[in-house]
Amino acid sequence: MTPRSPRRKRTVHRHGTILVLAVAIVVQGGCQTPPQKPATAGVTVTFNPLPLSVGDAQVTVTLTDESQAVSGATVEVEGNMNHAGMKPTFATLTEVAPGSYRGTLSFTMAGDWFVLVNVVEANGKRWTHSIEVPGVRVP
Amino acid sequence: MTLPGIDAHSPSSSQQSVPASKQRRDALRILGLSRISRSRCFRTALQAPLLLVSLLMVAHAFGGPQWAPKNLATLLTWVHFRGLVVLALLFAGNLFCMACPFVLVRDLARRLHPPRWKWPKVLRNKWPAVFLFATVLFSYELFDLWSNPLGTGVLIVLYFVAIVVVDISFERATFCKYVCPVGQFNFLSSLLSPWEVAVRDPDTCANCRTKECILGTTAPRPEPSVDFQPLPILQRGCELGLYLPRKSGNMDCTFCLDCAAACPHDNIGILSQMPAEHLTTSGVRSGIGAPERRRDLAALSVLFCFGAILNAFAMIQPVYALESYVATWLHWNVEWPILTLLFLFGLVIIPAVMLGTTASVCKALTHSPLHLSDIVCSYARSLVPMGFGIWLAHYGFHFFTGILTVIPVTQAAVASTFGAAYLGRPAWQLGGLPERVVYVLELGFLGLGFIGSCLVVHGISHQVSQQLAAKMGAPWYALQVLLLLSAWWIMSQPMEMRGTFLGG
Repeated sequence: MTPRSPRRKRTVHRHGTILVLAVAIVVQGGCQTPPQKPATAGVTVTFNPLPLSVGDAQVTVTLTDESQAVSGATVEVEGNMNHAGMKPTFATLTEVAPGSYRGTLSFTMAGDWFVLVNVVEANGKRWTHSIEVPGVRVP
Repeated sequence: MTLPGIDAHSPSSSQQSVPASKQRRDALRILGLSRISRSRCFRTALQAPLLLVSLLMVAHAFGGPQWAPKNLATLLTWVHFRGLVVLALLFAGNLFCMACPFVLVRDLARRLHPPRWKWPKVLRNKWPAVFLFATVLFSYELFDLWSNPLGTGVLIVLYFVAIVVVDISFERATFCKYVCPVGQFNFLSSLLSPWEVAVRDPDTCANCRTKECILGTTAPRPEPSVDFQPLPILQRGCELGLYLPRKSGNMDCTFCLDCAAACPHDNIGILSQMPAEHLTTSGVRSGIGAPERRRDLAALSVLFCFGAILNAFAMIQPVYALESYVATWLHWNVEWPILTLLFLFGLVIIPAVMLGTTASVCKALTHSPLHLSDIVCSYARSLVPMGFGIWLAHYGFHFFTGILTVIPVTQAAVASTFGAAYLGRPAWQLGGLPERVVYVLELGFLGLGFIGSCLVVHGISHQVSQQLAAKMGAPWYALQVLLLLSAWWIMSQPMEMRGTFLGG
């Protein structure tokens, strides 16, 4: 093989360093997943009608903290399929009773879904909780 | 293969059926890349961005959110990469192998540890790749890789490890030619591509004595010299053993353009070809032999086609009903034995019955003295276009319905990495084409595959015997109709993306 010039070696090393740094940043940054549900918090998610099928479904989220209803929170649910490449669906829920939030979520395709419950409590604390919603059927 | 009436030296043999180079267009010259493509940096410049993307995907797989639609590893691998690969194969050629990031890492590793061994003769065929291709399809279903960022990341890392281990041990492009399942997929698919790496002027090659396109370019031997040690290679020739003047079609060609860089006469380009043309021709070709006699290539073609059907079938509701039925019937509550049974039927028993029946009818109609397996071997390549059509329809569905989802996922990854939305807030409303539009495209891809397969059946039959062509081809046309109907039925079912066969 022909020997490489020092200039080319420097370029290769520089590019290598940039590559490693870029990957390191993503690994480090990628770990910043959304804050998870606090240990004391309770989340119950119910759907209506059951069994779930493609189309709109009423979703009710009940929030508690140390068995006390969590009122005044902003609650948004995000439905995702478990396959990459599918557009998520969103619903912002309204509080219908202390700690109970309700809205309508659209399931656009049959299959396995997961729903992210994004909560911003009245005190500004944010957290996300994920639940599996398997087997949404063709109507 | 000696089907009745075939003449290995007939005008239809592969070399003579290729259009004269004067009538063929040269993509490198059209794009003004003829000179730069011979540079050492050309391929590296294509590989480096893909390597960076691969590393970012691995990083996101291990460090990012473990939700498939929000992770770059799953999204880019199972939606964008697969879609772009099949579309590139349809409209251009084997561009992924050309820009393969795994090979760049392999080349770097080989500088530290040059290979010393030759790949064992017993493995110099496609059987290892057939096994690995089937294993990848099986693992995809078993581990639900489409919904598994960590699993996808592990698969990418394993790929890097595998190519480095194989190619620092064994000389030439062993991994690409004999091991790589993605490579085999691309090799078969690129037989349907409109471009191939080929010789510009055959007369120039006729006068060439140095054969750099396969031997590579070495440093000049110092004079006077009595040292007969091999000289260092300055530019490698074709590592896949394709001697360009006798190369025919894209089988085993990675579009690396090492041959073009090595040729001192600038006589190698990327020339236009009639898609599927090389599937209809018989005879010995460089690096391949006679495809119609190779059972490993026939098995690969069968796997390519029936694997496409099985892979698409696994994404619709009836497969879950079938699995649940089998699970209840056999009192099994784990997935792998049921999946094994499904694969055994889908990739072995059903193809064997269908191809065996078709070959039997063909034999009965023509009173051919040939063994059934020889007839199957000869016609197996006619499955490739239909298989490619099904892969196109399936991967095209995911790609076109989710083409824009890469934007919000990248925005979210950047926001998460840097703590600031430098690319804007994730636009989660972005998706892709509506399913009803994509369905029309899917039907178009299936139709293309069907037409291609029928033309290949026609070509093979006429090559064997002009008189018996209609009788020989009839059962194979019928098989293609059956495959088309199966694929159409699958694509017409509502897609049901599940990873829980047993409802758990």
